[in-house]
Amino acid sequence: MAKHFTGIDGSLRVDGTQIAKLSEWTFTAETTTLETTSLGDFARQFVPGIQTFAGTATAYYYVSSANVVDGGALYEDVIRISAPNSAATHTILFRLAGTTNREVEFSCVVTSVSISCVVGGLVTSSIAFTASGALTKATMGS
Amino acid sequence: MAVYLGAHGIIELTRTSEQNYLDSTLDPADVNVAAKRFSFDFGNNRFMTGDLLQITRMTTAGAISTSNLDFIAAASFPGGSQSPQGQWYVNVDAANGIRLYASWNLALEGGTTNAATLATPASAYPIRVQLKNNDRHILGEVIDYELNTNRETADVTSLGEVFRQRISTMITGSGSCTAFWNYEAYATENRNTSGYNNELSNYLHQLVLRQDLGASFRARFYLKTRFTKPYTSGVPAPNSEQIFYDLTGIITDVGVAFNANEPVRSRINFVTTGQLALLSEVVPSLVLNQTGGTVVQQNSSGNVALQSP
Repeated sequence: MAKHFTGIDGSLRVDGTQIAKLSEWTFTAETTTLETTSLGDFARQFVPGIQTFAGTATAYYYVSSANVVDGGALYEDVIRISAPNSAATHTILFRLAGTTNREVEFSCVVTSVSISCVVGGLVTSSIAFTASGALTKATMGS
Repeated sequence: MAVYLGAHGIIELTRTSEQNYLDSTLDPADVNVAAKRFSFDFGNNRFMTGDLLQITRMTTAGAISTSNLDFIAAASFPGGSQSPQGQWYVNVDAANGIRLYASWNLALEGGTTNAATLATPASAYPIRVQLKNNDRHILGEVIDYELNTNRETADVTSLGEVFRQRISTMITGSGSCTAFWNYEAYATENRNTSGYNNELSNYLHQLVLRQDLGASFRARFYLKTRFTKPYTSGVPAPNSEQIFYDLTGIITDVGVAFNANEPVRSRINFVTTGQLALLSEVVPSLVLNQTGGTVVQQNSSGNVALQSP
């Protein structure tokens, strides 16, 4: 069935558990370019280089009835009193749900967490992460 | 063509706090055994007369305790024996003193006669107080109400198209109602449906000021009650179907105006949260009664009795 996707279809899972109170996510895939233009060429030439995958998410700071902070595992990667992890610790999966789920999944390093608390507003957190290694699922384009 | 008049509109209100709760500590000095009255640390408008409260004894670590709520006599528990948790209707006086009752009607009446019997607790301990979903009550003395549902759309027009294309996205609702201001809820037969008790607009005045527990409520906004008769000719008699919007709302504005030559009116605005549903139900033609252990289903032509052998 032909379909446009909206925020209703989106979700984000951390280590297999869906973040319950999420208002936004973005995913970015980039490839650097390596120039191979030679003398005598009249147009620049490139070949693909190293891939980079990164994402951001904005979540409501939410505590469940079991007293668990929604997405708290991501916060603790950078908001901590001990040294940072030595390797990527979490698996992130972005999903657009449909008859066939469109997904990307990767192991990530959390690069920043920003928690915002304003008068009269909800406490929200902005989380940024970058992938370590290749994507383990990549069906957004298929 | 049938035309329905607004005179038969009804708002049914259910008190709720949408799972919010208040943690506090109950001290032995908080309980007045002779007056069947107790208090704990809570502010004005957090609890109101008629609320159904679930009181739970907690541990200092924040878990549900295995010890009983020893400041309430066993006979005053719903099950007849003490437990760490129980639910009661409350009467809250002007000094934030609370008495516990078995029913909404008794809570509105107040007084010591029907209040739960209390005892001095052996020690101070933490309690969690949660406002549970109450029974549905008719919002009384309403003059008018309106409910608007709004479907947001996203523009998906592509280059090359001459007509805008849109798809549906989120649903929101909002509304308002006007009622004559009154402050004392009462238990009585309603004009249109029997056996209902009435909330009054002052409850909504209090609700918008409620601090920790929020200003949410559950409600049914009726388009057609079972007694609604369309103004028409040549159509069948009205059936018993009821059609209503079922929603959870949050009070956003409450206003009251005084004019020398008009009754005092409350104007209440709200927005909806969560699912908004347009439902219908057929009211059963049988009435269920229970007398002396026998459950009787009864209609105008006879009884169906289900009785233990």
